[in-house]
Amino acid sequence: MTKQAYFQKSNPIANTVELNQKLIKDHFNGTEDLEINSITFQERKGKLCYLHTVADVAKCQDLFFKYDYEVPFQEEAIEIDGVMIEKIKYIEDLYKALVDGKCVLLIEKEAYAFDTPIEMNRPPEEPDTEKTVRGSHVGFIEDLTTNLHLIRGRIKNEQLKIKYITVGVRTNQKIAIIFMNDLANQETVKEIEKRISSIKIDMVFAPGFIEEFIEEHPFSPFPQNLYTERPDRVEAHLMEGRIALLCDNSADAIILPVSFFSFFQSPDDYNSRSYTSTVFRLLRLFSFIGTLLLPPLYIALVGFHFEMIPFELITLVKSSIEGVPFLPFYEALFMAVTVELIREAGIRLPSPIGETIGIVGGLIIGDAVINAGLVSNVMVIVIALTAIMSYTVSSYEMGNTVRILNFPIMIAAALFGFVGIVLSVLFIVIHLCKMESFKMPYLSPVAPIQIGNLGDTFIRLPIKYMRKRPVSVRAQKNKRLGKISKWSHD
Amino acid sequence: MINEQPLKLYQFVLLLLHAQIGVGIVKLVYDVHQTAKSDSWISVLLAGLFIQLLIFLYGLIIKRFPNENYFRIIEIVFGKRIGKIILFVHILYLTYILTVVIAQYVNIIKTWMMPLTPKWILALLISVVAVYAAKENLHVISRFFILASFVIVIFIVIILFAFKDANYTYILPIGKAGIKNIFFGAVSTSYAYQGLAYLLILFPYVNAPNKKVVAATSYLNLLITFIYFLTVLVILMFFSTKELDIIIEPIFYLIKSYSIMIIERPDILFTSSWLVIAVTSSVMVLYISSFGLQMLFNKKRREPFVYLVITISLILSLFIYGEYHVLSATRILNKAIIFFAFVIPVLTLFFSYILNKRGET
Repeated sequence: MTKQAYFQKSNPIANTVELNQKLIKDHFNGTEDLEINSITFQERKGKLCYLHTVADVAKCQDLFFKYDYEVPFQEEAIEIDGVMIEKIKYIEDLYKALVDGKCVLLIEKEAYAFDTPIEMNRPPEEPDTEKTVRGSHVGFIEDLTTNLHLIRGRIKNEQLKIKYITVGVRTNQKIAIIFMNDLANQETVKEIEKRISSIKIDMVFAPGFIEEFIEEHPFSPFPQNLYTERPDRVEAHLMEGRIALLCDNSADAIILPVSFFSFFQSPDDYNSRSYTSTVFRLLRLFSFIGTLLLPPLYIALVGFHFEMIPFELITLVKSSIEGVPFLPFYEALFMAVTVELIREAGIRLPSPIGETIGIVGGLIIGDAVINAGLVSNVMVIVIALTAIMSYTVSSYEMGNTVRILNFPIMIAAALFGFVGIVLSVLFIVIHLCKMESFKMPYLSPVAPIQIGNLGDTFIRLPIKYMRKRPVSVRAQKNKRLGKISKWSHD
Repeated sequence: MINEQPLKLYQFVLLLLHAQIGVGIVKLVYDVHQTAKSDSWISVLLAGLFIQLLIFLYGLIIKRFPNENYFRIIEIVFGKRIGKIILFVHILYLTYILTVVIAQYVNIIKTWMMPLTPKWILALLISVVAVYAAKENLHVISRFFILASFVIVIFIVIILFAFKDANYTYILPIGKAGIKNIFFGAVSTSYAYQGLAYLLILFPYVNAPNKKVVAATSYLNLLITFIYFLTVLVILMFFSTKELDIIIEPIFYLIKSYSIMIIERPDILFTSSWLVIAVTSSVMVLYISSFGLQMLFNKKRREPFVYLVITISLILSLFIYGEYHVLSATRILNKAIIFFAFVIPVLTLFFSYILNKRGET
């Protein structure tokens, strides 16, 4: 037995119910899913403690109701009706039992754990928008308790704290703030609580409502909070010291504060080899830039800087745009709007009809438009490539943002060529530099530069070399890895 | 700036770097070559040495006034009234720098990329972007500069490409121009070095000992001198002396002459990346001048002054048009820089010794 483990086992439970109750309360840092109920059992007064996100108290109560005096209090573990009952001697076991989804009965000098975990009534399905190849295939559902259960199931730690806030003056919706008490920056937590409790609105229809109330830059086109439907992603972010918000009746968790680069990470990155995920991540960032710049570049090249096109390509481009009656900008606008139309039309239709729309829109319009000579075929290639690139960005919100931002840059390119592109991109970059979300610079760890955290931005280093939590999250503990074990040096 | 968090050393270095490598780099060779001819590269090295001495001079001022910025130091040394006047003139000078930067940018863009677009639109475009950055605090600006630094790297790599066609006999024989001409050539580069003077204004806001700040600035000067040296050297080896007498922006001609892979006319790409540098240097000038005005009028908000300075510069820059005017404007600026970056600091130091004035430590 190692020294640490020895110490962990050393504290026996306290002598009175009140003291034990207080110990538990303190240890769980006031998380609000901890319930402590008074009960009288076999004519003895006691307390029943459990975390309602992981333990099913009804099972326990059934047991009491059905067997009452037959439930024996004894040293050995015993099973009644499929419920394990065991005596707890050490306070650490008590905490662990609670985290594991057991109901703990404190009675006089003793404590008993009833193994009554919640059984899921609807198996959570993999979210459609965040599919992964490897790893967990579980997603959130609309029920808040189940979602919290999924998170508690992954993080078996007493420091995980859940706070409920009721929002919506008329609908009284429950929102859960989830964070690691010993990691998350308390200032940020307080700030979030303050901002959420200051919301005075009839209803909170979706997490988007909360998002727009608590973010600093509601007019920015860039998403400042990360949406996810995956418990594993929430887990990873909580472990970096971030804070998650879950809203009743919604399958999305909001994670904050996040930076620009969080939107390019995917859970798959951490399940594949470091080289592969680095290449894919670079591909996503490249797609982001490509989506932003490809159509404007083409417009500027054709409209202003024709001499930049290499000699070998010039006849090709020239012959393709010769018969087109419109300026390249209008061509691009027409095609980009068409792509948006196809997306918007297909998104809400059942999939067979959606596919039809895709075929009609993509194949027929694309082909006919070129044959009719309305749009040059190079332009169709450019716009189609842009659309594909925008969907490569792993966050749906970021992908949309970048496609919307395309239009102003296209206008700038059509008016001022390269000068317009450079200046409008600079404008966007400065805007990104200005943005901060809960004191976390949006472009960190690149600007301001934090070398220790660069391993998880453009590239992904092997996990064993990512030793520090992101500095700008301002977590309470910065190191996440202990010393790497000796085996690699032996 | 007064209520901001202190800057980190690297942020400070970035701010100076971008203030320094501004539009000046384009005109650098032409200015030196007027006097120093094929020995221009020696002039550039010499200029780096001068600047190093200047940094040590600034170091002496900083030692006497470790916690005050330059604008305050002037007030302490020369008294409130004269100090305010000097400060005001200094701000006029900064505004003039900004004016020349904008005029030069407009001129180059008009010559190389957009011959038909009206001047005022081009000037307005850069002004809008510069204001958008300059009204923020130095932390935001330094974040922007980190990203803009990638452009500087690309910029330098493109310039270095030309070494493959360099003809080293063009710079022979070394020392042909004579010591006097080399010296005056060095003096005429001052425009390309104007940014370093911000050391005196920014040092109290850096979260590092003043000695380290001065040392970092010296390293920065080494880097910048090296970049300038390479630029000048490659151009001297690429064009003959006679060609250099005629062309004012040799860098663009140099890059126009080769095509990189699939890019025909890389000069347009180069001009675009140079645009970023023009923006960053005007952001810096705009920030410092509006900060000066804020100190002058003792106001809490700096933002209105940003708009004021940019409006004045924007309008003035429209009067400087064409190659000839820009050139004469730069020549005036060269002299003004020597006055404001060298003469006044020397006087400040001198009077602070004579009148025995020190800053609180």
